[in-house]
Amino acid sequence: MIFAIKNFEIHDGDGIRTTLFFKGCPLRCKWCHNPESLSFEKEKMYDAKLCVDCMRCTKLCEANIIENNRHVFIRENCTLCGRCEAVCPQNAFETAGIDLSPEEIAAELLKDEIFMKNSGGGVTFSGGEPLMQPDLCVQIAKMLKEHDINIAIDTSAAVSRAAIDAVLPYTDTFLFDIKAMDEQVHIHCTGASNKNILDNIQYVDSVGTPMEIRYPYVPTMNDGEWEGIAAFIGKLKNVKIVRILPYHDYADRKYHCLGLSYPVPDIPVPSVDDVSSVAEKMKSLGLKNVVVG
Amino acid sequence: MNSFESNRKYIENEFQEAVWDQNTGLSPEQLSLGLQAFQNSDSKEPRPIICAKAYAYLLDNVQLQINEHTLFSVKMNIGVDYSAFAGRDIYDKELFQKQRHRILSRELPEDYSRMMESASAGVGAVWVDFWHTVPNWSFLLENGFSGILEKAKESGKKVPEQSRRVFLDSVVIRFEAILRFIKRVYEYSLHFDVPEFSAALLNLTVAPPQTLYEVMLFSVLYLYFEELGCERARTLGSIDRLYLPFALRDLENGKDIDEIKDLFRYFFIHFTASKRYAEQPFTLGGCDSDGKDCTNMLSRLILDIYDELSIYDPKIHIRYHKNIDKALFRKALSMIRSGHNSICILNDEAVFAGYEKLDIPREDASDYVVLGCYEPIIMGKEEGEIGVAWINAAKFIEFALNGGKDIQSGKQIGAQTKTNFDCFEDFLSTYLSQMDYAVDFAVDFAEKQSAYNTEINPSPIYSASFPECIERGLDVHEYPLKYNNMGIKLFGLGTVVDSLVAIKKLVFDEGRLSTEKFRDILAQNWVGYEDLRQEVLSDKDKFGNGLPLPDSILTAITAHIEEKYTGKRLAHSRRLRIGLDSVNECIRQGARTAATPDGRRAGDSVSKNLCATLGMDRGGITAYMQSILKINSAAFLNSAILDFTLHPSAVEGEKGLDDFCSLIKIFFSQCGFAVQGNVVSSETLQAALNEPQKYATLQVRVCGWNEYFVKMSREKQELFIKRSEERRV
Repeated sequence: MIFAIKNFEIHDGDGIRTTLFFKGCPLRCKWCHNPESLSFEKEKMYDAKLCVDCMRCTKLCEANIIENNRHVFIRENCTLCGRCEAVCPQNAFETAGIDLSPEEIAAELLKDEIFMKNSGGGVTFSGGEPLMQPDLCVQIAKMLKEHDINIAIDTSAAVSRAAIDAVLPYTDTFLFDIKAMDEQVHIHCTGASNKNILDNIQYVDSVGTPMEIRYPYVPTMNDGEWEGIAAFIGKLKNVKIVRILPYHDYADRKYHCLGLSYPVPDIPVPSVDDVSSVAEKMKSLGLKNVVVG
Repeated sequence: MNSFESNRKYIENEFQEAVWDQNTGLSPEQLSLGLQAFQNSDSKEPRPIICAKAYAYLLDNVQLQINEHTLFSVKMNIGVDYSAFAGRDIYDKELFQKQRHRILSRELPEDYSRMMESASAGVGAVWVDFWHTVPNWSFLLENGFSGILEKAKESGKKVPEQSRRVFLDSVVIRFEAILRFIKRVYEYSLHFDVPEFSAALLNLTVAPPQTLYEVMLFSVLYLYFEELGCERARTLGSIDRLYLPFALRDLENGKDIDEIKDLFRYFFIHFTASKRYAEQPFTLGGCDSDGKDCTNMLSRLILDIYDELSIYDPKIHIRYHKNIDKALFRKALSMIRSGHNSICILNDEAVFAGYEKLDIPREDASDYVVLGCYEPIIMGKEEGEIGVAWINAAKFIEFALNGGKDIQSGKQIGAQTKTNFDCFEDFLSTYLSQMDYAVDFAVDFAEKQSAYNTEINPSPIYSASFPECIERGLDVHEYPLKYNNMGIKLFGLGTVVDSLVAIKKLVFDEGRLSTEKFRDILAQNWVGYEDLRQEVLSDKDKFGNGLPLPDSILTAITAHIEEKYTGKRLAHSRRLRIGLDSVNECIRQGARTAATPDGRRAGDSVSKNLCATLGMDRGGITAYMQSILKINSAAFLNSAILDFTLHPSAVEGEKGLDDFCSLIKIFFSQCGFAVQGNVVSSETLQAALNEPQKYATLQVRVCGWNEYFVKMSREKQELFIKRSEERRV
């Protein structure tokens, strides 16, 4: 399942790209900015702050009821029928998760073929974790490759070797995240060990596919990890770009819309100077092409 | 003279804060009385002579002011704030508007009355278009005011016909008045510390401009002189090409490049100070008929100065072609990204293709400049009258549903068509019949009206910029130029397409409503049907998203317009040019248009230009481009603009700029006509915060990805605005 297709994305690989967001992820990074990507199931997003109590949705189903003259959304009663979205004047409802066949997805992606081809761009599989759905990835990739579309895969690498092998023949670039080198820090931040991740990255490097390594820089969580990460990257042969992604705190609304609480409300947003200084330090350890953002 | 920077604050409000020297002439009230006497006189003299004398009276008696802080010192007290000057001064009131009404009521009473009625119902009005002129700047700069006067006198001795002599006499009267006026300003200027200004004026009384400064001063004065006679030159022309020889000569004669830059600073800020948005833009770049790039050192210098001044007027039109100077193109896009909203880029190939449809070869088309908003005109060879009518295409949805009746007044304004439909195609065909009925009338009326143009408002100042007019003794509205065309605009296609989609789905595909029922719902302005309205609004099939159904309807409509109207042959070998932009007519005519099936309420604006309905282009910019590219741009030479909105953060960094350049290049490689970027300001973000439904598609770059602004929490939205402002500083 996917949850979004965004065109004119220029920050996830070369040229003008369309990014396909797969739904579902094995990690639980505390700072995740796409909480709608975590579950493998469809979910209803509801923004209570937008609601003006017009009560249109309350006439439709048991998930939308009136209590004390106010509209209340009862998540447990929601059957994801989607009728509320059609009537809500405030666009307070949204469904995370789109039912499209691989053929329909490929057709949608190929609409921008001309922009991809003429800008050195392509399609980026992102998420969520695309490689948790390797069959879907391969089916779509095959159709894109018939049109000679460049494919980048933005993955946590927290997946099976088989999944990596399945997509390797179709992948022009991997965009890997490294959240931490210290296993305990990694477990603390994501809920999982980094062993498999690092192995997978080394494996892809040995195959020779070009890659970009991304380091989400999150103060108080993994901001001391830059040195170890730089050392690890220094041993890889096919890293074209190292990108530091500074933490931001813009995703809290999405958590509320999913009925979740924001896991890390108190993390400070790093200053531009902080992040630039980390970039400089990583460069001083011999890394080339370290960029921010 | 002090530095430009220290003078700037004395220039920026000079038009609004002018203090008139009462000793230099008559007050606007006295001038008005004088002009009324000309309009009401029993004189048997021909109209061009009466108008020329009135014009001379105005120039001889208007009060002056000199500003010592600028190189373009003189201003005239024409009775209104300069920002409202354009075509709305006392000459306009006393001579133009009254004369037009008098002539049309007398000569075309029935048509005139019908035109007025359909204009007041929201179909759109038919104008006489003296407000989009492109004078032949080359000829003007070559001859100057004195040279043109001499040529007109010479020609007057040769032409045999009385009427032609009358035209030339009117040119002589006006240009003699112009020279008297310049002499008068010169003498007055001697009381002030403006030696360069005085010297340049003195030269312009006897010779064409010699230096870059004189060229600029000449251009500023010429614009005044056209406007005082109710004509409006709407471009300075391709100033990089026109001004280059003068700049090079200045450099040879010892001026340094900083002095050249300073001239442009004073020149541009003069237009900015007038505070009239996009009135006198200029064109840069472009290719010749062999595809060779015509960018020169001035093109880049001008962009640099403009960027440095951080101004929005005069607007810039850049001509793109595949061999465009890469630095110029990149600079232009970088400026758009950093907040310059008044840069519009036109595609030479699309313009040439448009002219080919009018049987005008590339050899001539390559001389085009861009006037007004975004309309190409071949300087020196084409009289375009590009805006005789702005027609509201959304009104015909109302007419198609109601058999041609206007909902508000109940009057039969449109064609009498049937009100029961067998299928969607049947309805679409009725819609197109309504459109044809209105467009046929507008074109026919504009044509009939054109026959009276020279009687309504003789145009000797504008006409005298063309050697053909001087040599043959003809007003430009007697069509002596090589190409003579006429242009109309049809706007609101976003509203039209979305409305037709809604009708197709609800009435014909799903059978949920009858056309009668839908008609009633719209007549009641959706009252009692809010759920249905919300359902229609939230439907994904909307124009501007590259979707098959809306795009197929768009194609059917534009193909129909192309077949029936593009290049239509008119009298005097004129051809019809069609544009799809609205300016502010989308608001004005929208206010008179009933509710539409797309969920729009009565009185709301209809969609602007070729934009999607506000907030409905949810598919992003490439999808919007795909929709626009379904239109054959060659059929819409009179403009088919793509307006895009972005926050600078969405294309930040060098890669962002690279990809932004690629995006526009790809659009143009597919024969996209023109683009204008609207960079989002903090004010817009603030507006999005308050009216999220209208800004559903606005993306900002949050960190490693773009995010829909309206989907961020309120607190975070406010934070984003604050942070972007800090970044900008």
